[in-house]
Amino acid sequence: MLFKNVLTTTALLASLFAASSVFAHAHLKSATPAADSTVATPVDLRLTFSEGVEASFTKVSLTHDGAPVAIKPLTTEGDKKTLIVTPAAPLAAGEYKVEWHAVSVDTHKSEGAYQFKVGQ
Amino acid sequence: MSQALVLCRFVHFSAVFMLFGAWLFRPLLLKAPVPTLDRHLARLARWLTAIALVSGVTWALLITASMAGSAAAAFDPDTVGVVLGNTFFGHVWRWHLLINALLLALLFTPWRSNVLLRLGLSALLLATLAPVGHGAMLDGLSGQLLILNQIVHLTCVAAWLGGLLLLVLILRQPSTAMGRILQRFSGVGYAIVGGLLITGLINVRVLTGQWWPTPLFAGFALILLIKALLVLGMLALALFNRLRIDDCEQRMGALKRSVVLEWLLGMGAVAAVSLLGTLPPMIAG
Repeated sequence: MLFKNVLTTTALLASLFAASSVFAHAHLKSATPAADSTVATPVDLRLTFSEGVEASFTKVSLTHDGAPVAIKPLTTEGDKKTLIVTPAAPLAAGEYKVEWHAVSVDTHKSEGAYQFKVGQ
Repeated sequence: MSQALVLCRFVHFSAVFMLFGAWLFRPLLLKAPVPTLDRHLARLARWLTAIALVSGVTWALLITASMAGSAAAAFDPDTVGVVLGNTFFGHVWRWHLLINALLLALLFTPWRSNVLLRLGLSALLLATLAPVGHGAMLDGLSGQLLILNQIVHLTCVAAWLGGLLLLVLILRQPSTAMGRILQRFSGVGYAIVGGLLITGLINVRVLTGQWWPTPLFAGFALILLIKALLVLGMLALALFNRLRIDDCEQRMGALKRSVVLEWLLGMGAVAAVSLLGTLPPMIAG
């Protein structure tokens, strides 16, 4: 009985503590164009997250040398993990900053920002 | 906002757990009808179902406010509509609320005496809690298995806590066959604790390579620790009562107090989990 209780206790503790890393929410795994890269004018921006995000509530702001750039409504692909940001007009050359506020499918929020450059 | 969500989760989870667990154990523990107990249980069930529905709707409104980033969004039908219609949470939750409403309606019709109907609907209510939150993290087959695992986990928790509540109700008017009732409870109890552990361990294997959260005494890990200690306390009490089952009729007062205490520890653990679910991520890897 004692052995069983000890075993039970150990296993229970383990299972409880395991819950912790379940709380890793959506974070940006990769992006196209990649952060800090210089690219030719892209058709769209693709942000791949560690878990699915809700396009309806995720917000992305794109700025060109500090000025906001108009974008179309966000969409997702591939189990909602890839967020697609389509600029309303082709991007001119210059520095761009992407700021994202994601709402993941498990309803949690996360945010981040990165930059890329569109070359001549 | 986030405090309200913690409270809402706690109230909702507790109500659903009690409903399922008490209904599950009623036919297991007592074979014959017990009019006073059944009347109490029926009234309690109506309240619990109503509380679950109100807290469930509030939960959806709070999530809407949280997703949209403004409290006003909770009262904007369009935004609530987008949450229920276009998000994973909403797709699960509209079924969950529908089942809850059906169950409440059922309890006011003559079909309420149908044990299978009640138990079935409450099981569905419990099952639709599983995909909400972190069950949604993985996709494909492993995601579905994870949700299934979570369903088993929730079922065990609900059975344990709801069963304890029923025991408290029975102990208010103890019968002479208390020893037999406890024997039955404890027999199922082994399966429940076993299920709890196995599903917990599966969670470990599937979701993490880790056994211990890194900042041990930071807010998040600390609450986990508190929860673990609460559950350990429950196990100790359960073991104590199991070992002394033979002379339970001579110490009815102590038995009742220990069952109430075990239940309260369980509610504390549910409260801890409700808090954990809203804490910001600690690990980004």
